[in-house]
Amino acid sequence: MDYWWDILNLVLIFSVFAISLNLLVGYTGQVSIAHAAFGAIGGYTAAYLSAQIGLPFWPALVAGALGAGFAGVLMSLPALRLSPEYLVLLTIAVSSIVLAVVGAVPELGGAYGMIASKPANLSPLPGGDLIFPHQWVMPLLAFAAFTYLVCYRMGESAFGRVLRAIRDDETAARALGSNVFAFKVVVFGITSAFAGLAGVLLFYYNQIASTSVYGLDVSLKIFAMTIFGGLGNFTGSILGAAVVQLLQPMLERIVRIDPGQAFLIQLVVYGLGLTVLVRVRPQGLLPEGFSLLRALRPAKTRLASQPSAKPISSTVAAKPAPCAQTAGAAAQSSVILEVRDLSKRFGGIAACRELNLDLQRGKIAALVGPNGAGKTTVFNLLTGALRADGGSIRLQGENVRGLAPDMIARKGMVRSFQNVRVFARMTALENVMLGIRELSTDWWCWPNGTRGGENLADLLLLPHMTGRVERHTHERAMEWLRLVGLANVAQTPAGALSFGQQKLVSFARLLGTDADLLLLDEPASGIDSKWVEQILELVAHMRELGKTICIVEHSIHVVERLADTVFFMELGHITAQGTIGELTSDPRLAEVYFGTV
Amino acid sequence: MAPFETLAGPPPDPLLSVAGVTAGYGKKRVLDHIGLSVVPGEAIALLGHNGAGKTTLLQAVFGLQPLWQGEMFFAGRSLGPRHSAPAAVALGMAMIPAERFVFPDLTVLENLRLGARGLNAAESARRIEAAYADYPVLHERADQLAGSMSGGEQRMVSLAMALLRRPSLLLLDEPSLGLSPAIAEQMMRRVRGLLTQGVSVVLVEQNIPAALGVASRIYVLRSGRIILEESATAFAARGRENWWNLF
Repeated sequence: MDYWWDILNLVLIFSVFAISLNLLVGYTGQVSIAHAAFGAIGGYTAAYLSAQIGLPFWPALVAGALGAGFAGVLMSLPALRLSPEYLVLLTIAVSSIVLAVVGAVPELGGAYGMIASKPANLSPLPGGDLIFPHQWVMPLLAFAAFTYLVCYRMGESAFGRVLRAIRDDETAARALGSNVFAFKVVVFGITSAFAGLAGVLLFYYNQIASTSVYGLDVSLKIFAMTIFGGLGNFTGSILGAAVVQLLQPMLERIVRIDPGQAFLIQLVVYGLGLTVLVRVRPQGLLPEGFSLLRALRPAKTRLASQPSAKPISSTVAAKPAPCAQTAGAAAQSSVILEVRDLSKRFGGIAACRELNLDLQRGKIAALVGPNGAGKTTVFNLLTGALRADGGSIRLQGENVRGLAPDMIARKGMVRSFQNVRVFARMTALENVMLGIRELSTDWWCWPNGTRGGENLADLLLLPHMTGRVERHTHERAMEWLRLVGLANVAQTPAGALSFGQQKLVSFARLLGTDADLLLLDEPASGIDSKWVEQILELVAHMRELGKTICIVEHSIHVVERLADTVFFMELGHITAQGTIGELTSDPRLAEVYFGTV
Repeated sequence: MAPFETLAGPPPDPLLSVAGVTAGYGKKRVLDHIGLSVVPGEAIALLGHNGAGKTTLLQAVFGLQPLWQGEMFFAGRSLGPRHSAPAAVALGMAMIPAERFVFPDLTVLENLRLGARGLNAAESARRIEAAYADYPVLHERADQLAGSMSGGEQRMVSLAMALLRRPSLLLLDEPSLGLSPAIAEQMMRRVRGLLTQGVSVVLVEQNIPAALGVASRIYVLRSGRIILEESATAFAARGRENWWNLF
C-alpha cells in the first residue's frame, strides 16, 4: 500500500511544480526549463540550514522558498527582453549552472548530495515526524491546495489578465499602461519560490537533496506535465502531473513490465503522447478557461451577452460614456501636447529632426506625408516605444520624454497599432478590461499603480475590494464594447473576430484607458469596406467625447473626412500645417507626395 | 472593362489577366475583387496609397500570396489554386521586390548565376556574358559582394538577374525606391527599353511621374479595390492637384 501512497505523494509534490510553472508558461508565456533547478535551490537551502544550524522544518521551508524566489528574480532580469528561444536557452543555462555549483561544493555533499539529518516535523502543528508515505499525504495535499489557490487567485484575476496580455502581445500590453517588466519579475520570483517550496518538500520527502533529483530531465518532466495538462489551466496541471508520474508504475505494476524496460517504454509513451496531443489537442487535456464547475452549470456563470449591436450614434446619445471630463476642463490649456525640437537618428539617417507639433484639445489632427517621412516613428517617440535623442514632449504641461511606454499611457496618451495587436486568445471583453484601471499613488499599488487585482496586496489581502473593482471594470468594459457595437461578441476570443471588429476592439480598449489623447496609426487601413464607415464614425465620435486624436493615415480620403488640422511631414520634419484643402492645393507638397520625374 | 484607348484595332489577347481576386493576411482583407489585364509588350502601373494592396497584388500574381477568391490567367493558361513562385518563374514571370532584391553576401556573379538557375551551364554562361554586355559595370564588379555596391548598382544587378531567364512578364515593385532622381530615371529608361523587346511590365511605383513615363495604362488602388483604370496620358492630363482625391 505504501507504494501507492508514495506515488500519490510524488504526484502532489509535482503538482506544486507543474501548477506554478503553468503560471509562468501558460499564463505569462515565459518558457522555462529551469523549474527543477529552482527546486534544487530550495531543497539545498533547506538541507544546508537544517544540517548546519539545525533549522526546523517550517523555517527551512520558508528559507528554501525565499532563496529560490530570490534566484528567480535574479534570473528574470536578463530574461526581461529576451525572445522565447533565447529565454529557453537562458533557463537551460541557469539549470546547468545551479546543478554544477551545488554538485561541486563539498559543503553541499558534492555529487552524492546531502542526506537529511532529521525527518520533517510539522510542529507546532500536530502530526509529529513524517516518516511513512501515508503520513505525508495530508500535509502534501495541503501544500498542493495552497499552491493551487494562490496561483489560481493570481492567474484568474486582473493580475492574471495582465499576465495573459503579456503572453499574447507584450508591446500592446505596455502601450495600454501595464508595467510589463515588473510583472515578469514578480511572476518569475513567485513561481520560482513555489518551485523552491516543492524542492524543499522533495528534500524532506526523499530525505536527500542530490543533483539527480533536480536534474534537467526533471525540469523537462515538469514542463511535459504542464503541457499535457493544458497551458493556462491549473486543474490540468494536476492531471498532467498525475498522468506523467503514474505512467511508469502503471507499466510496472499493471501491465507488469520489467522496471528497466518500463522506464524506456515510458519515454516512448511520453514522446508518442506529446506528439499525438500536439496534433489533436494542442491546448492540452484541459484547455485554458475550461472549468468543470462552469461546464456543469453553463447558464448561470456564463455572462449574459445581450445582443445590442446598436449603431454608435444612438447608443451614445442615450448615455454619456464614462469619459474623463474633469470639472476643470475649461481651465485647461487648449494645447494638450506640445512637442519641441524632437529628434531621433538611426545611424546616419535622421528619422525625425527638430520636429515641432502642437495638438489642440478636442480636435482631430492628421499626420500625412510620403512613405518613409517618419510618421510612425513620431508615434513611437511620443509613446516612449523609441527613445528620442533630443527635444521635449509635454503632455498636459508635463514633460514625458524618457518615460517608459506604460507610464506615458497611464499619464493619458495611448496609441493604436497599424496591425491592431489585439490580445488574440483573450475575449473582446478582457481586451477592453485591460485598459480600464483605478489609478492610485499608494506604494503597495505597484507595479501598475492601480487599486484592485492588478496589485498583489489588494488581490491577496483585500478580496472584497478587489471584487468591487473587478465588477466595476467589467461594467465599464461592457459599456465601451456597447459603444463600438460589439457587445454581442464580448465573450468571443479577439483572435476569432474579423479584422474590422478587431480594430473596433482596439479602439474600445483605448477608450477604456480614459486617456485624453489617442494616437491612431492607420485607423481605416486593411479593413473591409463595410467596416470603414463605422470606424470613421467612431473616430469622429471620440472627438465628441472630448478626446484629442492624432491619426497617421495614408488615405487622403480618410484624412479629409476626419481631420481638423493636417500636418504634412517630409524627411522627419513637419513642413506644412493646415486643412487638407490648403495642403492639397500647394503644388510643392503635391510634388513631394507624388514625386518628380 | 474600359477599352484600350491607345491601341488601334481590336485589343490583343492579354498576357496576364486577373479576375475577381480577393486575398489577405490572416483575417485582414488586402485585395478586394481585383480585375486587371496586361497585353504583351505593355507596361501598366499600379498606383495608390500605402497599404492599398499594390505589393500584395504583385505577390498574388507571382504565386507568393494564396488567393481567397478569384482567377488568374497567364499566357492563356489558368494559374489555378496551386500557383506558386516556381511555377510563375517556369511560365516566364520574374519579380523584383521593393527591398532585398539581391543576395548581399554573394558576389555579383553568384547573384547572376542564381538568376540563371535551371538553365544548363553553357546557356547560363552565354546569357551572363550577354548581361555583361548590357550592364558593363556588372562585369567590372563580378567578384564584388552585391551588398557592398551602391543602391543604383544593386538595382542593376536585380534587373540583370530577373532578365536572365528571358521572362515575358516582369513584376517590378518600387524600382525607384531609395534612388536619386538621376539614377531612378536611368532605371526607368532600362525598363522602357525592355518594353521594346516585347517584355510586359507590371510596375508598382510611389513616384507617379516616373510611373507615367513608363506605363501606358494605370490602375489606382484604394483599400484593396481598383477605383480607377485609365490611360497614362489621361491620368497625367488630370494634373497633379487632382491626383490627391484618388489617394
